[in-house]
Amino acid sequence: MSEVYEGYRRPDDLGTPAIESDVSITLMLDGKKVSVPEGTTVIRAAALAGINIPRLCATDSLEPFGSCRLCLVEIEGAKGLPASCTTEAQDGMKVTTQNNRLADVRRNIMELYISDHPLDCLTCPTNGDCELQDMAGAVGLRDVRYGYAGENHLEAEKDESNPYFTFDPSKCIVCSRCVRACEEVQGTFALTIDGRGFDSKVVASEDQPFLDSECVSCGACVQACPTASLTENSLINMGQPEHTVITTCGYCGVGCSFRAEMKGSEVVRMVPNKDGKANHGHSCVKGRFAFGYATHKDRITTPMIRESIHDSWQEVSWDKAIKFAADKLKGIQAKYGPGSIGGITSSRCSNEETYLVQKMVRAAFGNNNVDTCARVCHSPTGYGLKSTLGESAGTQAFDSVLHSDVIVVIGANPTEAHPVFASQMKRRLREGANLIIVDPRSIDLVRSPHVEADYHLQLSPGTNVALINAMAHVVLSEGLEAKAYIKDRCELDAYEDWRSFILDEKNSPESMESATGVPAEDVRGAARLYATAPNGAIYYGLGVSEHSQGSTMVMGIANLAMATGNLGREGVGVNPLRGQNNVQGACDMGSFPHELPGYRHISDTSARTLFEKEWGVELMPDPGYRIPNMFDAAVAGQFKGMYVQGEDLAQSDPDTHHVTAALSSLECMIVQDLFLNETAKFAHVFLPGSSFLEKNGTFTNAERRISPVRKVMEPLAGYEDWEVTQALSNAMGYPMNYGHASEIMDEIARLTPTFEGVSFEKLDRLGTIQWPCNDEAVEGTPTMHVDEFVRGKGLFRLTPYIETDERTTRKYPLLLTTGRILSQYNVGAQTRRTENMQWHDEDIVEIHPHDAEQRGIEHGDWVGLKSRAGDTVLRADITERVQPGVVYTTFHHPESGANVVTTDNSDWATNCPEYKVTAVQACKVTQLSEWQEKFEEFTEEQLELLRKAKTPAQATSV
Amino acid sequence: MEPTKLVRMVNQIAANWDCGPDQAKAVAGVADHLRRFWSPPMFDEIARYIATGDADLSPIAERALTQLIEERQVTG
Repeated sequence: MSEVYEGYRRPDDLGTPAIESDVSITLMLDGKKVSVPEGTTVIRAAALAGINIPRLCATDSLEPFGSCRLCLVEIEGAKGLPASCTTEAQDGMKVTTQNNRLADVRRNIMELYISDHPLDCLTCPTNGDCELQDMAGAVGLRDVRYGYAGENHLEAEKDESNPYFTFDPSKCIVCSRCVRACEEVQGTFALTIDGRGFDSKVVASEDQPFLDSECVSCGACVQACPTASLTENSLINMGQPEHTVITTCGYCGVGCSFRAEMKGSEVVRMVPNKDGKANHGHSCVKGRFAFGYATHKDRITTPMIRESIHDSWQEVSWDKAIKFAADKLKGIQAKYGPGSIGGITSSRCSNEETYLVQKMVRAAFGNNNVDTCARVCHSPTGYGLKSTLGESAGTQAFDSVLHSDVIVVIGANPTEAHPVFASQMKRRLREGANLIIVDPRSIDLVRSPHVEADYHLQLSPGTNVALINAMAHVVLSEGLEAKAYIKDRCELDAYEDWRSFILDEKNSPESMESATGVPAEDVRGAARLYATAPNGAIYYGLGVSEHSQGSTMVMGIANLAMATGNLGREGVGVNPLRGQNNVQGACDMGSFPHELPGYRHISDTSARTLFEKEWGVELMPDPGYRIPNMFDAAVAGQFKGMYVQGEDLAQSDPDTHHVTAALSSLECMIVQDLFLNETAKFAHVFLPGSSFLEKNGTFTNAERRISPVRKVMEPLAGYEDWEVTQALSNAMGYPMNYGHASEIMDEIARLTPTFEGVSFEKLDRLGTIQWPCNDEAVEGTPTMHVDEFVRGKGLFRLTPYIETDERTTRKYPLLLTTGRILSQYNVGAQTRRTENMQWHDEDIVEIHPHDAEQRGIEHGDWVGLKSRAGDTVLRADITERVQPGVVYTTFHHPESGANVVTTDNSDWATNCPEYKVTAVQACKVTQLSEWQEKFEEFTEEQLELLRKAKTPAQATSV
Repeated sequence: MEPTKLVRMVNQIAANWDCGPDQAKAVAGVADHLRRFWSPPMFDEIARYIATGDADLSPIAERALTQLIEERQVTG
């Protein structure tokens, strides 16, 4: 696959989707013999043979519809002129795609279309990239005999409500491609054709402006539109792109492939790549449209330093900033010891960047105090899946869901957090797969157009393990386990221990009902449904991991999947939905303090020796601090310096009072980021970061897919992030000398067996690669654990349910749980600097009507949320999405202070914070919390210090 | 580091291992877990706290830590 297209061209379109069939049929097209898979349409068969039949309503991303009639053909022996898009090719069929009769009919059809279409091609935004224009040319339209005096739609008013695209109904040809894209591709069903005949028109929801409708702004309709009726505003403003670069989205763990369509170094639009193996040409509002943050005025592009966090920032050269940082870190180590500093890698950065940060910490800092933001999201996944299956990763490709018969979604909200995968899942659900949802809250998947869960196990927050044990109890007590599979593939002693443990009556659904709040009969029904499915697949998210028993729950899920034989083939599996773009990669790259790249323990002498030899330095054999340990050590005065690349600990980590106390106590905080984020307000050195558009590297998504990230513009601050890490390492006295990110990947491949066959060259050739990629799997591994588990035999681990310490009391009678919303991403540093703010400009707290009434709270009131850790104030949304006794909020805005309320309670195995369960009280208030007032003051102080930044020297080379 | 927090952490680890009749296995599990995931300064801190006699450890946590402290004394 070529990575850069010189000049702009629309991707090839074969008219209708590909058909998979082992049977081949042969037909004659214009006298040419063509063989295609059985079930292929005539239009696609023709396109495959290089014959492009004119069309408007047909496109290969949508099922054939047959409305425009432009693609009609003659078929020997058939009556009339059938539409080639809806006609299946048959063996022996003889088709004529072009003759005078067909040309006349097509020209007449186009004439009718154009008679109700503005003739403003020269000033039209899609001039040069318009299928209607192309078809007018293709059929040789030279005249419109009807004139424009009659009734028409030319004066129809534009809908410019959506910040990212414009709907111009005057240019609509009512081909229904947008409506079908909304249904088939996105699965939202927000668009429809209203009216009949001449009155037919596309409307959003009940004829509402797009912004006010159910439209989720995924862009599928814009993508599908063959005219200028639905057009990106950026295209309207900038004109057609002139070259295209294939790259990977910098948002969530789906890892969508995009065509960055460029005009020079400016992005005109991001268009989902049809060849993208994770997204198949689909996108969401973030990846498709919310890229403007990369050039936002808040970007800091000059390095800055200061002695104290209450001093003004001083803009300096790269050399000076790097020297200042290195001198500070070395000084701290000389004074407090080698273990007094550490570094944080980011799941928002590339594999190469995270690899380099952990290498610098281990080799240049001389300790293992490196951790990553996966600590606070999916570290339990690493622990749980490694313990049971032998590998810290999801088992399937996303496409696997298309083979699932029962889909279990536990503690995940795919339509908000992983929207493109959610669309694929919904497609399978519309085909008839069953759905079980385990969530304290009524997420959209519970009931949405053409999707309804068979079971919604609406458990009380913090009782996941009780529920999964109860499901396992049903499987074993009712004899639904996969006996032969277990015997063949699992450690039998451990299985027998687990079996005895689970079959204890205390784990029955009836016994656990009082803990979970889920009716036993529902648990039984759901367990039976999953266990008896030909293919049962489990997808889970942070609602599993971010608990005091997050790791236990991951093991419980793996146990259940092994017990039912649901691992090792397509359609099944245990699939963690990773939050950020490179959570999987950051973990793979050795970002955890106890593991070298490839999940090899730092105490493993043979692995350590391998790295010592390559890196030319002796490594410490003991684990370093995890992030919460770093904070505790900092508060205790034992940890004094930190290098944070691309993370915002001050906003994202729990128990903000404790976090800010720790950050305030540091003698040197170095932040490398795009913006002066919350953590940077506690920094002494600011090193400007580069966005995903400004660098080369790779991201690894939730299905272990390594995808290329390609530089489409030069870094605004002059350097890709890995170059800055390299400079700091050199200044610290440990030499690094990479010339390109590909050289870092080459080193990763040399040292990491699962990445052995990965290189930038191979990625250019294959597009993407799912690890493991080595001699045994030259082109990667879509499905893991096929013949045996990575650890050999699968290990059942005992999973006792232990109630969290965060339980309700008279003082704190409600449970707060937190989550995400579609339009915002993580701490919001990127999406808050885009038009996505129009959908979500503040975090709100959801509260059940019963709880609200008891407290005299009305919709929109200010509500004080108080926990043992702290308190904050948010506006109320009274809704039955949450159950009585549960409140919910998001954490996308720093001033919301959601993490002022969350506590230091964490997963027993990994210290992943228990964001999902905090005992709170809620009451109506009239003013901000004390923390919020102080936050406002501190923010204002820091912004003023930024404004006062001096510029004594212009940036020079690193 | 706050030693009572370390005690809370190790008790939590012990509670999650204490789920079968074999207590020795649970102790071994906790010890191995601490060996694999705890940084040396955390051991030093909790060892000092245990020496004061104030550490409110669960029996399994205490046995695991005693074993580890002895082990670390041997290996230096």
